[in-house]
Amino acid sequence: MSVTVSVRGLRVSYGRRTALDELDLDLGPGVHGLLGPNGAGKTTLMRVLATVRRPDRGQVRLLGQPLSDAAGLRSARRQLGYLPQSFGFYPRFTVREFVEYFAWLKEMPAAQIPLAVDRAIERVGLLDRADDRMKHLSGGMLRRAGIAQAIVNDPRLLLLDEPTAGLDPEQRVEFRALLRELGLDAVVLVSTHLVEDVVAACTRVSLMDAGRLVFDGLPAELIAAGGAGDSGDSPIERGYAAVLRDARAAAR
Amino acid sequence: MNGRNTDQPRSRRNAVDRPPAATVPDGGGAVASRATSARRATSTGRRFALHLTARGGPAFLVGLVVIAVLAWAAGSWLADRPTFGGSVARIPVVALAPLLAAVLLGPSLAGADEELERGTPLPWRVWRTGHVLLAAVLSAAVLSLAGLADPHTFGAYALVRNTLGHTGLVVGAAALLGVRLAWLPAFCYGCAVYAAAPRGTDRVTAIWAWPVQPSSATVSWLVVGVLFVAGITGYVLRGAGGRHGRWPVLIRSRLSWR
Amino acid sequence: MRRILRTELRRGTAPWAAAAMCGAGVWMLAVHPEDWGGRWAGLVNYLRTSMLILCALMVAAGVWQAGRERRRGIDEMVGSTPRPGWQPILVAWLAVTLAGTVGVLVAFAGAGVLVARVATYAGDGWWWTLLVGVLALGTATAGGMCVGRLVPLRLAAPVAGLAAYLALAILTYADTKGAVWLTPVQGGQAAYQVVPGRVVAWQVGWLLALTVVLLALAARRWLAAALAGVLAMGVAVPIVTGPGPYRLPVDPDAVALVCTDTGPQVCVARIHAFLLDEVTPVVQPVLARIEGIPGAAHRAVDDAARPVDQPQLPGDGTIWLHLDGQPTVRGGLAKQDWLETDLRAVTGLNCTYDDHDREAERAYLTGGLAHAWLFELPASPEVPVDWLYALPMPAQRAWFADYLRAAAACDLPALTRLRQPR
Repeated sequence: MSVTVSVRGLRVSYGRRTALDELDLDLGPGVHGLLGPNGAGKTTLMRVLATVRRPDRGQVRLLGQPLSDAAGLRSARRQLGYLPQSFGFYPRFTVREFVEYFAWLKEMPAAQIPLAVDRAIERVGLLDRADDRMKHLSGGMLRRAGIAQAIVNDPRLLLLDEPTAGLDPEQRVEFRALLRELGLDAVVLVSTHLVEDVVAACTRVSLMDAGRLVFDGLPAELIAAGGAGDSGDSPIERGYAAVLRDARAAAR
Repeated sequence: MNGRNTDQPRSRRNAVDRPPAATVPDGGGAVASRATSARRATSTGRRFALHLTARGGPAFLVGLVVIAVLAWAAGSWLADRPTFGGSVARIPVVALAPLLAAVLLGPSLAGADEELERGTPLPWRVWRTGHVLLAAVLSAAVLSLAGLADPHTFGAYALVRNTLGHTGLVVGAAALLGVRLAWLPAFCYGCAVYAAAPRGTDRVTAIWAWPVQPSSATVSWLVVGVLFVAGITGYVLRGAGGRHGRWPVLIRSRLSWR
Repeated sequence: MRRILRTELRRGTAPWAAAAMCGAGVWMLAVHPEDWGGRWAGLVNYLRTSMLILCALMVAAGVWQAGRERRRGIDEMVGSTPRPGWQPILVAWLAVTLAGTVGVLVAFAGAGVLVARVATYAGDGWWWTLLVGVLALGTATAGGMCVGRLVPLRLAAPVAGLAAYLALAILTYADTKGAVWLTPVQGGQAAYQVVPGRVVAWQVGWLLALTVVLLALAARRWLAAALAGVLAMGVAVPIVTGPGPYRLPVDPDAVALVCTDTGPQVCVARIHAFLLDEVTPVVQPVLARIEGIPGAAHRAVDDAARPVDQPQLPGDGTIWLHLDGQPTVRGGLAKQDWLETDLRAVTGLNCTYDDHDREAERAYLTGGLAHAWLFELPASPEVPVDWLYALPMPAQRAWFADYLRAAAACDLPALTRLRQPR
């Protein structure tokens, strides 16, 4: 497996609170789920990989480029797609203009932009609303528009923080199909609380707790870790609870 | 969905502060009722402090003091310059400082989420009235200090009048346009009047150019009174309008998800 | 980038900026039409005078546009993109500046239509004034964007606009020093005066350098900002140390005289030539009345054509008419009583008095008589001029000649004697 994202000894603190503590992670092509309780550092990890936040310590290599030098950073960002958990939008822009703006910001060649924008909008299923202003869209449509801007440049590293929040079940099924398609040749990191999404779409899953990685493997392995006595209504929830309990016990 | 954090605004806690009166048993009725009334008194004071903090009260006060100090300094400097007619030179201060103070009042007219606040059982009309009146009186009082030297000629009286007038405009605009744009009509109007620099003191000029009229023009005070009362009434009855308020009822059907 | 610029022009702050600037332009033009009526140079000078308001508005528009990313919570997404930060800022700046400039120019072009119907002199100096004005709008927008990026306050737009207005207003108080050239606001420059070309060149350089500094600061490119800042300082030094707007050179073609053919001579500058037909009926009767009286003025000339070293008093037989603030939009005379004030100079007294109040009062009464006679005003209790009208015309004219002699010599006993009825 070719390693596209490589993180070593990552440390990020906000003031006195440590968000990521000596994190090591390797990601290759495929869809990776990122699970963990609130405050575990998932969003911080996403922000570091999206090059929005510089780590206090540690090395990050994205797509073969170290992030410490400016040219490498710029080159990595061109192949990056990022959708934060709470993202903003320009209300008066249409969907097409919004995606086009971000395509321009990602330094896509100008000739390729119109076609790429159309393709991205079609892939998320918003083609019939492409010329509506964003303030007239519902929550799920807005999130789909956000996903469209993340995939417009066919990124090799796609970071999605809670992408299915606000989507109805039918849309979630379509979205999982999109994820599997994207994961064929790109690294897709999906941070989510919805464990069914992880089971259905992800090839690997990582579990974080208190700034550390406590599990990294296949979804089937996570399910196998759970037993009848663990809390949870589905096998993966039981596995999740089991792994967390063991990790916290080991930390003490 | 936009980038707003999902913490509850502090004013939400006001609703849960109420003591649960129904669960007190009958035997200790008198003692319990004294306890609840004592708790209610402190909780009102605490509610008031929370309300002010949620609405940016300290920032407003600091800004108001800064404006008053700058107005006083500018007024003194202008009045001392030999080329103008003494205190008459203070027209810019009288026209612009109250406008700035009223604009500063704008963001305090609504909390972080108007819809959340409307869902609470607090008597909002009472709170809004108190909030606006207190802010208007405070602004007028603090600004009038800047014009105490020679209060008649573009001094304290004109400052008070203009503060009340601009406050009425900002508060009324908040009811119609929402807090984000509340400053716009007053700002445009104040600047337009100041830029026009009308020189007459007849009645018609006094009606539309009240910010730059001398404080002896009775008509200007009448106009200011109308603006103040109309603005405050509109705000008290409707609350802050705009995206989170009740005003865009007509186009609410198009704003599907909020 | 063209498509993005088009998007920003349609969806950003640009449409609002255009509307606001057009509205502000129309408002400013409507409230003081006598400052720009009938003269191209006057119109452009008034644009520069209005920069006090217009630049403040552009600053507010720039702040509003630059705060958009923060207001919308989109900072994070934009932060993960590779394009250097100064490029979106440049596009946004360009959009707002273009829109605002077009808005203002539309308003002033409308006024230009009115001016074109009336104007009698074009000249070419006003192009440069206009250029500096347009550049200043761009600089103001850049200043606003710099503030909007660096200051994360909610009310930054109106506060910055007001602060910009105050800063410009305070700078204009230094009205005779060279530093006033640093602001785009032009003070009491007359339409027939010309700013030296060297000063205009320095101003253009200063505004361009300042724009680069402000945009670089907005993009957090500190090195570029420092370099451009050094350049801006370098350009500012010759401006500040150079001459101020005191006694600006006059455009000779603009003040070439256009005179009446018949009757007592009334001359106006070519730039005011459209006022000649309005001014003549007011001035000629007065001149005709004192024609031939020794010591009296025999012609009226536009003050714009007055040589700099000549005083304003009509000592050499010329009455100076001040026509600067006079034209209406349709080319008429706005304030006839100001013209009559100019004519009062004929009977004016410029004496110093030893016993100020009593002597001045006596001299003033005689002057009132002379003024009433000159304008053929009816008698009133304060000005009992009817005894003068009762005299035969040669005696009246002789009295007036005596008055002029006494007034020129400040002969107080003679003035007192002239007051007595004969």
